[in-house]
Amino acid sequence: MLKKKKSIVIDDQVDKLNQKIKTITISLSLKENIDNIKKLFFDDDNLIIREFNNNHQKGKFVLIYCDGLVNSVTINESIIKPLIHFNKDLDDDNLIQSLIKNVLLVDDIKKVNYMKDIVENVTYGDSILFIEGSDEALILNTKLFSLRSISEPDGEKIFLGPREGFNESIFTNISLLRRRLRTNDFKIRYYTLGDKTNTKVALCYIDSIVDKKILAELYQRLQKIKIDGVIDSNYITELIKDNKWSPFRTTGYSEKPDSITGKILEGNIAIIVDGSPIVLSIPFFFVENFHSSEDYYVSYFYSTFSRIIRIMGFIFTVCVPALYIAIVAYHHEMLPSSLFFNIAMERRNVPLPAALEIFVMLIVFDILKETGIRMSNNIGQSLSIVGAVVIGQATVDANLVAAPIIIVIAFTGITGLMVPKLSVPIIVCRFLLFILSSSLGLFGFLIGVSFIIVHILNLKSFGIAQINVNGDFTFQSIKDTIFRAPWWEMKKRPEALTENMNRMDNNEVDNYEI
Amino acid sequence: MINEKITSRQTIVIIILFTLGSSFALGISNESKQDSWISLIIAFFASIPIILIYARILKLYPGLGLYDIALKLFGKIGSKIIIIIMAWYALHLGTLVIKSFSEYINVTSLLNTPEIVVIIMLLLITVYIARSGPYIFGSWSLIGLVTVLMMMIISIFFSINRINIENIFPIMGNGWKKIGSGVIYIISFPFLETVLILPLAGFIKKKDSSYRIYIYGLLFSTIGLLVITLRNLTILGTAMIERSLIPSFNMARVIKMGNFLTKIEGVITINIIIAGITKITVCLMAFTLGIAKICAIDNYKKLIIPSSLLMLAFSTIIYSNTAEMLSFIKIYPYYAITFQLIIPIIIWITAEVKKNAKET
Repeated sequence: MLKKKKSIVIDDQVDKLNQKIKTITISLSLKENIDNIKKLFFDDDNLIIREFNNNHQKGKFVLIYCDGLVNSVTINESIIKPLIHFNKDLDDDNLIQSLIKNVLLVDDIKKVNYMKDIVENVTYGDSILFIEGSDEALILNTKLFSLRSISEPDGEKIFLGPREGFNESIFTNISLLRRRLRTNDFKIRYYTLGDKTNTKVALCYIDSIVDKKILAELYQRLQKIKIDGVIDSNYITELIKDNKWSPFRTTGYSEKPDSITGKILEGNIAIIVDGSPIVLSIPFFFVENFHSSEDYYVSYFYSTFSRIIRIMGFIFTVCVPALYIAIVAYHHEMLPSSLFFNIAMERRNVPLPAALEIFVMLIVFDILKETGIRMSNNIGQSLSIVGAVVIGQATVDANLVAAPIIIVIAFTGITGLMVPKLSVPIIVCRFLLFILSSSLGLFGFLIGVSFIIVHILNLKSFGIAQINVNGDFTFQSIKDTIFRAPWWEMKKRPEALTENMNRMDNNEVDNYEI
Repeated sequence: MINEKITSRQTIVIIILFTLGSSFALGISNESKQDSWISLIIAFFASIPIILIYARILKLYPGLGLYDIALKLFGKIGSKIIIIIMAWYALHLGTLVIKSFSEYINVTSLLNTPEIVVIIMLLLITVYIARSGPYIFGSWSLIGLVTVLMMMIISIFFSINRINIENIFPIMGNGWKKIGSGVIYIISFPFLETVLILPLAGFIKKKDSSYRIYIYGLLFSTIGLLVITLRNLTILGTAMIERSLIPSFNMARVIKMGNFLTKIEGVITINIIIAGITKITVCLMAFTLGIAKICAIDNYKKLIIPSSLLMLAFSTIIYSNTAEMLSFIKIYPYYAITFQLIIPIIIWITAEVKKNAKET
């Protein structure tokens, strides 16, 4: 009982300290500073406080860093060694400046006055140097932490083209982008989100292309975010979403730097969140759901073909179960008679109504899918056996479901995996259409489709309509939508995204045919 | 950032679907039997002067809807009378359309479903479109028109072997009088129902010519109706059309694509639902805008759901059986003349007089 009370008292103190942290400044007395740090980081064994002196200048220094986040070689060779050994006379009045200029062998040094900055930086792998008699501390870049290496992302496999993928470090990700955009026009602005995590967020764009209104809107929305932590980019996606209750995405994402570079060149803004390999791009057009970065690296005939296949896949996976149930239950006269007899024969011995069968099997498919994602790799085989033999073959043999339903479910499931960006809306739309058409037939199906179409027309991304059907089509406005035009026809950037439309300097295309 | 205005192309599309709307379900008037296509062409030319009056009203007050124009011309009390009359017409027409569509659905596919369920579903999607704003409505109609055109081409393509050109002969076999009465019906239903576009004119971009919108809209919908009428006539023949309430549906019954696709009349439902929803949405918006003007409420979107509920209630009492509806259709042209002709002409003349008075 007593113990509990005591801990509450301590917590109160910590809370007070944490609230005050923004206003605590660094004092001239080294001892007071150390006390403050110790108070802020009490019960934290990870923090190392190293005191040392320089005998020539009679200087007292304290170096603070987090164990495991720092490069010991840098600390030993470039900070402690020169500070202990220097024996030139330095200007006492401006000691800190002369230390930076003459002694410290560190590339990036910042001067700070507030404890808050110190807390944020020491937890990120920087070292803090306090100097006796100075009300400023130095933040020295000593970061070194282990990271996943750059590898091909599993979520966006491609056949041809660059295979590099982002990893969890914001600096690696920026370097991947920067290498591809070697111009001073490419801007990177940092932003910090999360009271507790202090996550670094970078906004990347090309200044001469980006629409300043969208940028201002983005800043406004980011400012409204008041949250304790941002762990993945999806936090931001949901917090800055336009249509809050829509299952459809209003931000694009990619794990591939080449794809994000292409988006930035079209006038998008990329949002990189530290700790997440998923980089966001805004604004987002609906048709981008069907795009893949590979589309731009292979022949335009092939990419047009595969985009149409993807769109058909989306339509099929959403509509097929609903249409099947509408036709079998309400409009069987529409089926050719031989097909109708086949289905009727199959259904003869089946106890459940067709709608219930489809519903159960759809759920079963999603169970299999979810298991496939969560389980460890070495039991994958048994899952496919269970899926194929038990759920496929045996249920039909046991007359629990009719064979046509297995075909419908398999087709629905396979086509549903084709458009990963739409995986969430696919589930919602599929069940909506399914319920409507199993209760109202083809009429319900058409009403449901109308609902989905109007909903998609309503989607906005940062105030820009995700899909624009105003009847004024020009070639340049649809060149990169359902089909991809050849590169020599991609003369303009998307109209809604930028005012700097011209992509090619010469609008005349050379004709090399003789 | 988003513009809430419809482009002229979208408006034309809305007019086309609006005009095709009920005709998909009910067909155009069968007064003149095999000559109904002649009646249609004559009706097109006959309605042009009145359509020009509508366009002229909009031209005189660009960027304003009919209700705002009435407010400018007749003051607060005078305009309210006109708005009430027009809003009533929108309500009545919208309810008629809903009723005829829900009946169509019930007869063709959902025999055991209560009609009110179908009406509620139709109203739900209509309310959603209306609440999304005119721009989304325009985009939706554009997608709808493409689908309708595709369906029309498919239905003609697959029934081409059934076309019997003999069915439209003898031309003028029933004399001018029948053709004339057919013309009157076609003018009032569906051509001059486009008067309900006038209240929505405030949403159209200012720079677009109202003449162009109206004439093109009417021209294209006449062509569409002509194609449908000739298709139904040549495939079904006059006798069959007379017997069937829904000629397009019966037409689709005869479609055969080898042994594989037969009896795809359900597919025709797509056309009817798209055009029907467009028509109901126009009526609902015209009605809601009228109510909003009368009550002096700025945000009409808040009133969409209440007015749709009014439509729902009204649709249950509007008529009790199909025979009643058919007898109402007989007198419809004389009933509609108030809304389609008298009020627009009053507004037009007043507008011209006021304009002249201002200039001199």
